[in-house]
Amino acid sequence: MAAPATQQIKIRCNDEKEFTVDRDVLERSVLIKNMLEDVTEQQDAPIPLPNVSGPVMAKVLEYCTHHRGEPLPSADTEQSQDETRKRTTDISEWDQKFITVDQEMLFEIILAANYLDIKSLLDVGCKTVANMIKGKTPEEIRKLFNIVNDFTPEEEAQIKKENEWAEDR
Amino acid sequence: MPFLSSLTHKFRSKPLTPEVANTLSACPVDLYKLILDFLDPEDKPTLLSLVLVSKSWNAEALPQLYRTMTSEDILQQISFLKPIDRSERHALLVRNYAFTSSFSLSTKRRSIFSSHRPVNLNLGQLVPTTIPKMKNLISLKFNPVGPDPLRYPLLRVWSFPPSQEFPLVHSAPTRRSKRRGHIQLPRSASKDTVSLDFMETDQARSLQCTPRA
Repeated sequence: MAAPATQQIKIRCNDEKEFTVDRDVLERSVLIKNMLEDVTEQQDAPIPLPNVSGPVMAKVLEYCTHHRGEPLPSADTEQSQDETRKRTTDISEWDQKFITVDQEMLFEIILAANYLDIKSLLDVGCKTVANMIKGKTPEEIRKLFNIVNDFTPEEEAQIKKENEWAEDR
Repeated sequence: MPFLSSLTHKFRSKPLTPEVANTLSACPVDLYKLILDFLDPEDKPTLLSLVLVSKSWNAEALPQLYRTMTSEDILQQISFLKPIDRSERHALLVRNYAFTSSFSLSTKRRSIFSSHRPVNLNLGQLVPTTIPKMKNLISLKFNPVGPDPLRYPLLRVWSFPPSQEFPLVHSAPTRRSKRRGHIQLPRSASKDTVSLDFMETDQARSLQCTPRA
């Protein structure tokens, strides 16, 4: 007996690139899942995703396809206790390989995961950034991520003085 | 498809400026917090770097820098408590504080004590005055060691029966939790620490520390 056909959904990115994807893959995105649940009748036109480009969506779909079928995090698990905020920065081998992209794509993926509400992908992206930040000086972090230092020299000196206890020993 | 189109805009739409999309500055501030959550709260040098990166990072990283303090390095504890003592803003950021009477010294600092000359650390004055200022404290861990830790003036101030629920008088319950702080009294000390003997010196509760032979 043949397995029941999986419903396929069309999406359209901000560069007009379209994808036709199995519904369960797309439902890794809480944003799209909620939208699909709100629509009762069959829709043929693609879902517009104005904040995601085609190349980024292709990467996101690669991730969602690999992780399809895995349980989605519940709202309860997101309420981390204050005392146990320290989270692991371990990334699985597949995810590590997946997220080994140039910095521009890394931030595009993070922003897309945030917009599409794909928590596990967002975590992978943020863990990667956290790992890049570890052990770096302020100047190295600014250089790495194109951040402008908007402190005056006096403000910077004051902050250093107040927090000198935290310096590397 | 106007209905779906309107939905995609309704759900968390955050337009990007293409020229800044590849920078960390382009991330919404909510994401700064998430990135910070993946940094070790004990990795103070990295958190300090973020505090100094820019004003927007400072706003998010400073609470994380002060959130947890469990260092066994006695001089770091003292230099941590000094801004807490002076600034209410910093004191209110501390959520988890651990204090131990078995201190280690970093390699650089060990030389300070190599002469075996008693060092007046004034820790006995700082701890009792600063901890009550940490009004958002949710956990206080206290690790006395030695045969009779309660004979020391500092420890006497904070002496509680083991495992007793510690009523943090100055701690307002958090929005998420009605729990009060809990004091833990583990009896084992780390083998890697340099132990110091405390001696009561005067009524001002200042302490003199010398390395234990």
